[in-house]
Amino acid sequence: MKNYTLIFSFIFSLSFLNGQVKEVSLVSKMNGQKTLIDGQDIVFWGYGIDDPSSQNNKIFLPGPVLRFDVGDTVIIHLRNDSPEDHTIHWHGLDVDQANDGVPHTSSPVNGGGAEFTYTFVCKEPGSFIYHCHVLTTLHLSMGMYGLFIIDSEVENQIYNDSGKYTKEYNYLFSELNTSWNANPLSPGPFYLYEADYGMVNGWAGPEIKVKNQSITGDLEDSIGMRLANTGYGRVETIFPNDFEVKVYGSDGREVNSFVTDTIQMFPGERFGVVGYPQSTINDSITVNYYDLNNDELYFTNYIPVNISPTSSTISQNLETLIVYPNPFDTDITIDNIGKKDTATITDLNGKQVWKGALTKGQNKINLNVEKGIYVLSFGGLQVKVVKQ
Amino acid sequence: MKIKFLVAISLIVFSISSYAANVDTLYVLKTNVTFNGTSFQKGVISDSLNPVQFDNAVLDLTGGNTNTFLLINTDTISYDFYLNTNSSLTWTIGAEDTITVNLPVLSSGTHAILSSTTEGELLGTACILRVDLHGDYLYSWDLWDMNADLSQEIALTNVLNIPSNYQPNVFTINADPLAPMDTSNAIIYGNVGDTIIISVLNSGNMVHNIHFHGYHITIMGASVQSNRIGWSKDSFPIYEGETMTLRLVPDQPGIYPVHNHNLVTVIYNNNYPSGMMTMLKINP
Repeated sequence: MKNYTLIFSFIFSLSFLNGQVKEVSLVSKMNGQKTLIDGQDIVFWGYGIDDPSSQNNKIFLPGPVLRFDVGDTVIIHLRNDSPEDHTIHWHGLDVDQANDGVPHTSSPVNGGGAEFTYTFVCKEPGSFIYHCHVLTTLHLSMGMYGLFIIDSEVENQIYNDSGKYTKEYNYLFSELNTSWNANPLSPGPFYLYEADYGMVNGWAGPEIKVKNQSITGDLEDSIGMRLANTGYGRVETIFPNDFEVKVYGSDGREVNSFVTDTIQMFPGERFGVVGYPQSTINDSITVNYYDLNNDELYFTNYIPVNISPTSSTISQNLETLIVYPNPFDTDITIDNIGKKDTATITDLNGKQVWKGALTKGQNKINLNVEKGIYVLSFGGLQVKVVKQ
Repeated sequence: MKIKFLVAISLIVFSISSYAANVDTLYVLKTNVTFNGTSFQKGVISDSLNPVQFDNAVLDLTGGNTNTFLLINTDTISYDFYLNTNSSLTWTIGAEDTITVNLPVLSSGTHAILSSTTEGELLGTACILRVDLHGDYLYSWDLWDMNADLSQEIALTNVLNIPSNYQPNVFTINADPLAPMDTSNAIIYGNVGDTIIISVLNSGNMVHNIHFHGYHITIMGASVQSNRIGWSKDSFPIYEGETMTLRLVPDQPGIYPVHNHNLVTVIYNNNYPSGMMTMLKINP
């Protein structure tokens, strides 16, 4: 099967002003396919950006990151292009009953193409989760979830009053009970659920590095991290030595900050933390997944952390800009831009072939150049892109 | 306005009469409980034998005072008990015996009397103590998990520990595996702006997790997670034997679920939603 090489982070913010009305269209489907690191092919259910005219009209595991500014009024259209009912519950966002996404108190979105529009205000900055609330035990486990981020009033800061960072990495921890994904229509008694696969933003094992989830920076950086656990077990994150981590908030609310080397995250919890490198680091964040029935460890992932003494080099920067498709034909999409700045694209001889501004969020560049390798430079970061 | 006042008064009377024992005598018992055709054994410190109440008693105690009650053991085995917030405070009661339980002055908040006897510990034999708690409404949730077949073996004193391959299929709030239903005494009623105090005990055999829809709560007290007191949360764990005191001040009306986010626990007899899910019903 095709391995998706992108994280589809759908960022609708086009300016730094708060209080805008922003609109997103999502689709829910039950036909996702994924190959696990052991080669096993599974089916997943999930959400994608609803764009039938685009090749991106697919679902992802997890769903696209939804990101807004505090104060925004959000309008989210869901089209359910699947045979069963689904909804979206906005976990932790404290929306009103009509928009809560619970079928028996709000409204189901029927299968076969029914549509529903959720509308609410992003009241507090922080990290949240969205997920289906129809037969939640099964539907969430099948992959119907994603990360929802609300940026604070202050740029590059997790909360309004704390959590300043120079670089950010956001991690949604989840799990699979692969036997359910292999046979979701006959999962058997629900109480026999037993997770056996842990993920970081949908990836596991060596995929985490390959899929650009590593933390890179230098000693001058402060690393903002939004952490969320959407699994049914306990997730333990153990940070490397010399990476001082301070917790600034949880569940979209600030707390009295404290330093820790380990965070225990139970189902549905989120934390906003900042890591401060105390020396160069070539290590990993250990992510342990525990079964709550017996507190047994069943899976471990590692998020590489590479902190260099000086400004980043090209080889490190290759992992930090999310650019796709790559190779490309005429258009390149660049995700997760945190701050407006000028970008350039040069060929391998250093000749500039494009220059322009990239704004916060998602950007598209139309580039008519000859076949070959080019270097996209932005904010001190560089990535190779290939015209096919 | 008059109707709203009458509703509020009736809810207060209902909540006090339903959740707080106003008795001098409590009873230790094991009982076979059947819901929708599935039976399981439950251990209880009950406030009534006629009819048998199989959810654990809740005592409201006034701060600054010592308290006393009579405990009658109806079971054929002896039990050891302790206070979860002061494990040096213990009581032993023989089979079919009666003792007087003397409680010292306790700090404001939620405490629990738990059993260290295998049968009582695993079957959730406990009593919630609410000390000096004040609010427009006081509620209590007692979370308990068990495997139905295993519970029968425990009741026969054939089990020493929860097995490593434990797979519970009974998840209850206040001994009710159908806690989302209108018949459950776990459902929270209130009005926008009310101060609702919820005492929570995990009398079960694993960590449980609570997620509130619609609102964040403030953790006012926690016997294990003292570092989280004062946090505003919508999702949080409660450890085995832990008691917590939560404050909810609703800022919007509506009907919202509140449930364990280990979603295996919101099932009973393979039906969803059941188990450790209940409802918040907040009037304007």
